[in-house]
Amino acid sequence: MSTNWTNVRDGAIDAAKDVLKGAWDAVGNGATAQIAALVSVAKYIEDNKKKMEEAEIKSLMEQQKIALQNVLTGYEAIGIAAAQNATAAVIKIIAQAVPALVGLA
Amino acid sequence: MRHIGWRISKHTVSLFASIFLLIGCATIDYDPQADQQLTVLSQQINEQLLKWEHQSENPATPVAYDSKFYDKVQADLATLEMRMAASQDPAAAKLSNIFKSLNDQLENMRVIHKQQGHLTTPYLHAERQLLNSQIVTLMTYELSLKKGQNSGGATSTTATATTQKADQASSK
Repeated sequence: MSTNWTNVRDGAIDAAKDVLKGAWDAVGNGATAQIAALVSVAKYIEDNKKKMEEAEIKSLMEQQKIALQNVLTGYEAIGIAAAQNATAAVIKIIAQAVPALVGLA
Repeated sequence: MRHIGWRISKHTVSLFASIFLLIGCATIDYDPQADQQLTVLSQQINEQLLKWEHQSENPATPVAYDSKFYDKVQADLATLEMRMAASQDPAAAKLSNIFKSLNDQLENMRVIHKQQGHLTTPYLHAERQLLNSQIVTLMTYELSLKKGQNSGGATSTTATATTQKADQASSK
């Protein structure tokens, strides 16, 4: 069964919004774009994983989590703890959609 | 009595001068050299990874490990971090995580490249996107400082400016 990546993206944005709450008003536009970009990279990895080495896939998935956290942390309105929680919520949504992706648990 | 009044007045002037000096020290200046270094670093990374991406599409020309690229980029990244961290802006403290992440990413890529002896096309493509997503955050910080300077006021980073610029850059 193919993954509906639009639903994954929307679910991930809703998850981050729910975690960030009041801070979302200040950073929603940029955060939305960055979360969508992260989901896009996850889709790209899923679509191309047969063409990649296992070490490459593991490395990319770990880097995705850190990249999202750092991008969100870049917004002054978001504390580091909130960024970590938002990251976990987003990754959880992606993992539910594509559990076979390495490093997501 | 007149003599005492003059001494008090001189003290008050000195006090206000000190206060204004401290306020002046709190202003964060836009650093065009750091901005330029960041642009050059971004170009360096994108040019090399794009070149490798295209090269790797041909199985006859795998991308062999080359320490020179990693050494240069990581050295330039460390230099840039020192320059940007020298700013007195409290928001700059949040940049250290991004620099660490960028360095770790490049180091992981170096290890994989060395162990495998090559890098795959999709890995290079995704790696470039992830690196750029964090470089955009640094560029947004610099743009917000520049914007503050151009508007004539004290420069400062703002969440709004960061949000807007990140929005535009990440859509590429």
